[in-house]
Amino acid sequence: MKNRFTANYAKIAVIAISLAIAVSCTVAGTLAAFSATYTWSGSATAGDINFSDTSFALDIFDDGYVFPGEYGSSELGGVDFGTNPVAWSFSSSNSSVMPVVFYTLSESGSPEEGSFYSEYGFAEMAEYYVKCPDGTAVALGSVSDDVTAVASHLAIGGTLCWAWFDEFYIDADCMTPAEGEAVDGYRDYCLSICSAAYGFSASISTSAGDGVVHAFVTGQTGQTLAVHSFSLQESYIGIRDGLPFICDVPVSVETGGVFGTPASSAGLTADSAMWLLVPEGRVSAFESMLDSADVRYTAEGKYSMTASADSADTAVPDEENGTRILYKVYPSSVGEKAQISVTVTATVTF
Amino acid sequence: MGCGKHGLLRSAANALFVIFTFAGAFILTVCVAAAAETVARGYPSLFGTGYTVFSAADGSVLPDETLIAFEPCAASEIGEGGWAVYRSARGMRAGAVVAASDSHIAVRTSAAEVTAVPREAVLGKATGHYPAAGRILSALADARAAGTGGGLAVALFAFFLLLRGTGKDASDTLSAAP
Repeated sequence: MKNRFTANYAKIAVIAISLAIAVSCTVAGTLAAFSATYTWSGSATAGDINFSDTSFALDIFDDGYVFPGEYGSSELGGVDFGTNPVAWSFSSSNSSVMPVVFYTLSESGSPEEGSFYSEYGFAEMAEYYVKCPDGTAVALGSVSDDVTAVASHLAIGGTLCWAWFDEFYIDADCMTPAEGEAVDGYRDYCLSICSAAYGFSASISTSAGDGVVHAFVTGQTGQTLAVHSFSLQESYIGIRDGLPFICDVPVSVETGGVFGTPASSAGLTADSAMWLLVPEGRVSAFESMLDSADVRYTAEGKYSMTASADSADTAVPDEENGTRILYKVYPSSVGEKAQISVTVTATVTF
Repeated sequence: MGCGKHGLLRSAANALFVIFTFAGAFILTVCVAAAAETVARGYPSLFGTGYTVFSAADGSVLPDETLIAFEPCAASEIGEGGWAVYRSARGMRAGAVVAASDSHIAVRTSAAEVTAVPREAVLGKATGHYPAAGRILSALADARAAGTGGGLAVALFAFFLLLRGTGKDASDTLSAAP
């Protein structure tokens, strides 16, 4: 009888333990189902989501060339991910470690604190400040080398910015420029990876007597242009060391609304332009020359030159009777350059 | 003397069976409570604390299959550096908070990846992590089909034997009655 009681105890214990094991396995499976993304994949197909792999252009570097002191931005357009968690990643291919700083803008348009990221180590200049394009001062010590600094602020509709700083300050008001070994070292570093500069293409050249280019603008007062002109029969244009000459006379170059004659091509920027006047009948030959040289230019309209073409010193807009077309011709970037590319990905997390 | 030793062994066995029975009943009770609370809350939970098993990505601070306990709370209660547990379409995930905005919090999910989590998807703030417990649970989960089926089969068989034994005891008792 006692043996039977013991046997019954054993059976009850086996039942309890067996049920505990069975239920534990079920509960553990439920927990795993809540935690692992692959568990429910059997009932999910690609068609049950509203998102598909899509590539968007990120036109952040504008014309593809960047130089110290330049900056740019691009909005992250695309789809609305709704309430789905989205995994953002930011990666840059920057083998030369170009000291470009990436950051994002807040809704108010100011740089977002904590979003500054650069592959370049600014540790030696951590106490210095830089000024963002909108005027916001940022301590270089706050520029992270952790890519998630910028990735954590990415969002659809947000703005991704970059800046290659070349001015540093010792105060948060950005009034007193920083100088010294660290800054000099930085500038030397920038030069070492960026020997390129802007210069006018040597392909811009004409021969004396072809009558293509015979005048350039030296200044502007209201709508009236001050012009330096040459004889149509004798004028020609050529490029020396990246700078333009007409009949061996240096051509004035406009940068930021100011006309001047740069001492060297180092004084040129992407927005520098020489303003040339071309006879209406020679427009196609001129544009053909620029196009074949892959030179950036804009045609600005018709102008009339005062007095005779040979001695004119001013030109005014005249769409009806003008015989000269004003062209703004921009320099190209030349030299060796480091390269950088940026990729941003957003993955909807299921 | 031999009878006394035999009785001692039988008593020890009975005590062991009682312990096993209570242990099994305790585990059963805990599992039933967890199941009920999970159904009520919509995520694994026991006595007010939520649980999830962490799926690690490249560069994760925590090892894969770590059990994470979390306290249910709003996203605003999780500061930078804290760990947030959040709901995704097909499960639960966790990550360290690296930034926050009005509509989202950003959590680090791998060395180079940050996930923007809508605030309403946040379930709570992690309060502890248990790698060993997570591995045990994962092993149980992997064997859930065999464990559940086998456990139920053994339990049913034992229950059948118990009924049969109990019936025989009753029969013996009746036949021994005057």
